[in-house]
Amino acid sequence: MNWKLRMAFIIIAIIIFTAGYAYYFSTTQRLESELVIYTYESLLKWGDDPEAVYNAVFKGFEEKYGVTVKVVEFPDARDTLLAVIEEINLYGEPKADIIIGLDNILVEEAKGRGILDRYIPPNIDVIPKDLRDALDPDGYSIPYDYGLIAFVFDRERIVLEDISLEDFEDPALASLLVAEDPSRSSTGISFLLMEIAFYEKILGTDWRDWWISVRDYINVQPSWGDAYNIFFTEEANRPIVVSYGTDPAYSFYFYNSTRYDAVVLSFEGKDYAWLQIEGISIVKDAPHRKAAEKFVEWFISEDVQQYMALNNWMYPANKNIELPSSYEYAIHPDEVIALNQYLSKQEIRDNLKDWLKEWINIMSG
Amino acid sequence: MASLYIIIYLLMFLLPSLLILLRIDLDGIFRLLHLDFLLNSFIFTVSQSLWSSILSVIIGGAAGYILALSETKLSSILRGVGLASFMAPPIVVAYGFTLLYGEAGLITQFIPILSFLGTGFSGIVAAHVFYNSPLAMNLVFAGLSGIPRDEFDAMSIYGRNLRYLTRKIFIPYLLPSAFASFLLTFLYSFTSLAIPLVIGGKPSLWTIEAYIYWIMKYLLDTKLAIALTLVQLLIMALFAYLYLYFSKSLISPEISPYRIGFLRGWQRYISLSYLIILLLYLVMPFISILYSSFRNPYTNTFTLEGYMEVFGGRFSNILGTSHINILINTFYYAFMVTIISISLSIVLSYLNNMYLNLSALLPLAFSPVTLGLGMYLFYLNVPEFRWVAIVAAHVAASLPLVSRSIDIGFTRIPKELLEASEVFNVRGLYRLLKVILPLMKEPLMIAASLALVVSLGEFGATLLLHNPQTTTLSIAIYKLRAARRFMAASAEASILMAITMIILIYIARKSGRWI
Repeated sequence: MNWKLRMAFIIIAIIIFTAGYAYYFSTTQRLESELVIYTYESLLKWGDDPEAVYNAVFKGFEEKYGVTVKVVEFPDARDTLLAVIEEINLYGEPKADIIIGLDNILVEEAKGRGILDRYIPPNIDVIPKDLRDALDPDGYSIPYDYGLIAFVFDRERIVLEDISLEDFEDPALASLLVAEDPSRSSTGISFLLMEIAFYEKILGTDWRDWWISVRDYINVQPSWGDAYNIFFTEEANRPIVVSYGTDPAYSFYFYNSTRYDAVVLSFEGKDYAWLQIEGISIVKDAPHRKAAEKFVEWFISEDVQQYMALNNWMYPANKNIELPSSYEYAIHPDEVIALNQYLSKQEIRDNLKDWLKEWINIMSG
Repeated sequence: MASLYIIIYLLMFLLPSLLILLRIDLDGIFRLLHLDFLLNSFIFTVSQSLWSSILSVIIGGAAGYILALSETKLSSILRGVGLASFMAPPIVVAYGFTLLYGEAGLITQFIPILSFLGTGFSGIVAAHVFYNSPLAMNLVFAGLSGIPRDEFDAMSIYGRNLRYLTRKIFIPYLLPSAFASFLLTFLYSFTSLAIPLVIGGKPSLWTIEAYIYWIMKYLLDTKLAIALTLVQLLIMALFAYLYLYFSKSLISPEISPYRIGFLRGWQRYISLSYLIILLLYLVMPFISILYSSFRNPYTNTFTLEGYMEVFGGRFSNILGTSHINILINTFYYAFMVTIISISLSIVLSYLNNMYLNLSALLPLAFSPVTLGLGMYLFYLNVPEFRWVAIVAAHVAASLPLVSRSIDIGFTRIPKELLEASEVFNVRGLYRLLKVILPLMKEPLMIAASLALVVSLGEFGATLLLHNPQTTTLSIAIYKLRAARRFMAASAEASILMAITMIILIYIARKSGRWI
């Protein structure tokens, strides 16, 4: 074959190949009529049959409303927020319609960035007003579950009673704790704010001192799942994990024992904890607004809320849902003083980024 | 042809990189100076790089010394495995180390004392030594194999005293190679990302590279990320310059290096034991990944579950796309990177211009995340260009390696043939296609293999640039591991490892002459 012909053949082949990929790429990007939901990867995955629950929630919606749903899972709720921010920053429009999992801290970050739209579903009365106000009184996020941040421990390896954050300043105890990175995990950021509220507002001391005293001993993991993995791995010798006050209910349900028990902060005879409320939000300029509204309504209805307690292991936000008996072992938010009240939403919005930088400054040492 | 090279080079590397410099903001620099973590991460990055470099040179250098001084069949095996370690995708290595030496790892559950190899500062250094000791081994081996026979024979007249010859002959030949490998290891360890993220975990064990990624991804603070990139770039440029300066004095390996055959008796047994331990150290992470891809850690049974989950699309939600899309992306990027970087390298070698040749080495001073950041600023305003940004970052990362390989091939074309073609008035593109390229089949294949390996395993830039639709195998492993889907992560890692190994075996069989 003539060399010029051969050369032309190669160039044409490359052009066709590239055009083919560009076409393939553009078609895989196009979402058409799909309702796109961003959430964290452990949503509703902790029950007896996660697949059946997933089908009941997402396929159930598809069947009822004739809308195709695409769920994209991220390691943590904060990753969903970051993905939407990036999409809007770069392209001026989001790909997602809905974010599930933004809590009472992340929702402030999201509102500050202007990426959410306000929406009050017609069945909003199923959610108690105080819960709605605690998450977001403006309606940019609707609560679907809630629970307390707590120290969860393995009774077969350690027993904790009446514990305070100051107790962890003892290296022996701090060496047994695994927590989550607040810059990458919503559990971690709740724990950080719990610590800030407790030290700054209750004790009246610098919140940074606690982290300085524990940084060499505490194990910090990128996500709640990673932290729990270390907690379960006995060889790692970390029998205390920052998790939720509902974990003992999980332990009782699956192991018929409260081997995995929980404690909140104890100080001068009172119990304190951070209340995490998770919400569902519609993204600003969502491509499928109508379907998104229907999904929010669906998600807080009894059809979905019935699965929260035994699959997401948090208190369902819908007040009509009866709690399973295992929840007798969980720590109910009514039993403690919520530290959330000591940090206003404005304070969180104004300081969150600086707190994260301060935290990383301390932990880098 | 020069203008074609310049246009592609501008788009694939220079303009995106210059954009970083243009976007430098005093506010970012000022804020950076007020953050303690800059100093802390600098101290950590330098100290782990120093430890990694020193240990890699000692461990790898000793192996190279033994290989040069003894006649053993282990030589080709160790050099082959060494090439696999050196070129292995970083995420695969990091994952292999956590599987082996992490909490309740395959080895540490029986020998807990070895957990220092899979966690913390020592774990990061151990993984960097895994990567770079083969580099020191090969460079030292090459340095010693380059000793002129007559010089060696002349010295040997005074007796075959090992200590004397080591001091008088071996060390002078070995030192430049050892120093070059020290500098190169320092550069690689300095910009490490996957290893500190996966093995280090906590912020006190993050490199500057990891902080740049974290600031971009989690603080969404581009100004601060750019300021930190500038700091890293300056340090990298210094070390890249030092490496290029000292590597001039390196001795090229002989095609068939003679073996001195010095080690006898107990010296030989100890040396061989050392080589076997090193071989095991280099092989074990790969075996652990393969093993873990078949073993269900919860039921403790052997199964194909991991592969079925991957190919059955079980984790499409986590990955944001199907497995087939991930494979298409991975191979398409690798294919395009190979075509572009080889074309650029051929043009470079053909033009043989000193400045253009230097331009191909410039990306050496840019870490993967820095390249990613440049591409991010340059391309990502257009959604359809996200994959172009990833390809461009891979091209820039592979160009120094590919251009060097092609250049060596070019210089070994017999001059008489080129002169003969001149005589027959065969010039330009016709001469390149009809005379030069047919004589360069082997170096071209090696260069193509190198480009493929770099693109297949690239992690840092892709991590910053990808979205669900542009996920590659490396990113899929990272995501599945983060989601604790260990069998699926191991299956993906095994697939990537197998593809990379096939290419590396090819390189190993042909190498020596061209790399």
